Amino acid sequence: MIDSILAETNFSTIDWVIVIVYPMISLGIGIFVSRFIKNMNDFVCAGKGLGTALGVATLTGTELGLITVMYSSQKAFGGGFATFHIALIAGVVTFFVGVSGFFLYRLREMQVLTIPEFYERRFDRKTRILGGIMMAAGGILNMGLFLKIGSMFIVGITGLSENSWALPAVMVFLISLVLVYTCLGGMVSVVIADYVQFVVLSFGMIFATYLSIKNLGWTNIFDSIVELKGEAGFDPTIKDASKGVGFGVEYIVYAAFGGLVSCAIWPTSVSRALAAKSPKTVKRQFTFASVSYMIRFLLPYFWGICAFVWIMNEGGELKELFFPSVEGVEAKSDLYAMPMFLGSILPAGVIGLITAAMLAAFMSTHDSYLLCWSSVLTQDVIAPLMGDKLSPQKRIRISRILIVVIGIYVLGWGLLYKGSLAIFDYMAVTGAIYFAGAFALLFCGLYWKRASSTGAFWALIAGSSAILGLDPVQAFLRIKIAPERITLMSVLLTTIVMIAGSLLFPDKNNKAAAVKEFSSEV
Amino acid sequence: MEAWMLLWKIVLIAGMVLFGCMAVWVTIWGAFDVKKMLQSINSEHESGATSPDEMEEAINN
Repeated sequence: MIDSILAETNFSTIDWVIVIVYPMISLGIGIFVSRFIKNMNDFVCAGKGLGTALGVATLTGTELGLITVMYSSQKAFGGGFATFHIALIAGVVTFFVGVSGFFLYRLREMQVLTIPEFYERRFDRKTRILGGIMMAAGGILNMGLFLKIGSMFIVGITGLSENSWALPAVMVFLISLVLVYTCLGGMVSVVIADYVQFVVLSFGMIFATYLSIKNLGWTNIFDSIVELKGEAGFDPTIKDASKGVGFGVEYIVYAAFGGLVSCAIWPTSVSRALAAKSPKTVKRQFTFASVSYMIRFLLPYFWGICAFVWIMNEGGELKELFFPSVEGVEAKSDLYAMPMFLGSILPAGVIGLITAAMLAAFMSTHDSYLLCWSSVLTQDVIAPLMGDKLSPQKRIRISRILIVVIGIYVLGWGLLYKGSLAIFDYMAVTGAIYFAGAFALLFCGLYWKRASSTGAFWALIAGSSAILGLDPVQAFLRIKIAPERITLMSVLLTTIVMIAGSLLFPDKNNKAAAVKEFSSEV
Repeated sequence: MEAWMLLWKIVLIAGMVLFGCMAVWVTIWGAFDVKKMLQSINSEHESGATSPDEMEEAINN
């Protein structure tokens, strides 16, 4: 009986046709634009030719991935409307970054291709190499669950989740598609795919939200959360540790820092700023994109809430599937709730379009991340270690090989990882391995003249303390600390190490002046 | 709780309206930007302009 609930969906033959044809079109675009790729600048930065509108589309396309939709809906499934504070803060912080140009304006002025390249110009080569390794390690670990979670959406919405073979089969199919596509066209094909995805996904998301409200009723959604979650379902300052519900002030600070990281420090986001036409375009791009940075959380949160209300309103076997009343019965993963909900309310045809859009979101996030980490390893680790003797063609070839290697890792990690952290927290913890150190280096490197290479090097190493937030690591060490606390403590630690290291071991040839001179030349 | 509920209702509606307007704008102007980007990459290749890493390589050699 449970199996029949999992297979209940409006997904029909026409939807399958849409879902299969859409990636083929993307593949065609990848093949078409591969002829424009002649050097590393084209491959990594799309020739530094992104206008404002295309910049907004590609930023949204990258950051509004299927993984974001899935972990956000999971977060709101448990947290209710109180999760909206994360979306609101993300929008406000990105708007501030856009208006002020915080971090990004100066980085774009310096015309660097990657953040570790900035580390070398501001500090030294060894900081660049270590920075590249830390960034790639944190980033690759961070994207370890993308494939699995994305595939869970596909099998959930199509009604395939009753079959045990479906998840690994979809994972293998999707990663193969993404690898071929990314290797072919680099950033140019990524940017165009992001644009197409933006168009399909933005209108699709608005339509799906409208149908969710129409189906469940605007008042019913709010009333149900009042009844089922109480005040903690709305007020983010409330945290009831004994029940494991709510957020609290510490979490709000963590969300604010996360908002800053996701737009101004996270490499895939920064790479869009570095690919912009000019520093002024960067500011415009991020000011406009602040709406996307809010919406990418807000609408999936709302869908997660609607999925929760739908399950509780329906009751019976559906409720039993996610909240079993019998002790010892394993609950279905809450990640399946939102796709099952959409599969039941969206009409045939529309459901195919939404799935295709989500598939596009999946592809655009994957290709951006694969391109980002492979180019960081090539440009900032392998090339400097080889004394910069690599030709542009060799660099592109190495990047392509690394894309495939990372893709294989993502498939393996997705099949093997058994952690119990909410996906949102897993992402934050693994990301912190990179961004805790990067925050200190960028902030001090760009805005503090006395920042030294020794301080930078030790701050990067201190950033690895964030790995303590992962639950397999905590289980091994027999400790239990909330991921948000570990992340904030890591950021504080790296900043202290950066400042102390710079004061104790100042550089003989401080490069702060060189950065300033470079900026003023542009 | 009422105040929070009202805030989240406003955030959701305002967010959707803003996003809808932005989606229309990006859809139209983004298409022009794609065309310009491809033209600019093409013309750079035709004029033989070098990228920063090619210049770096030339310096190293």
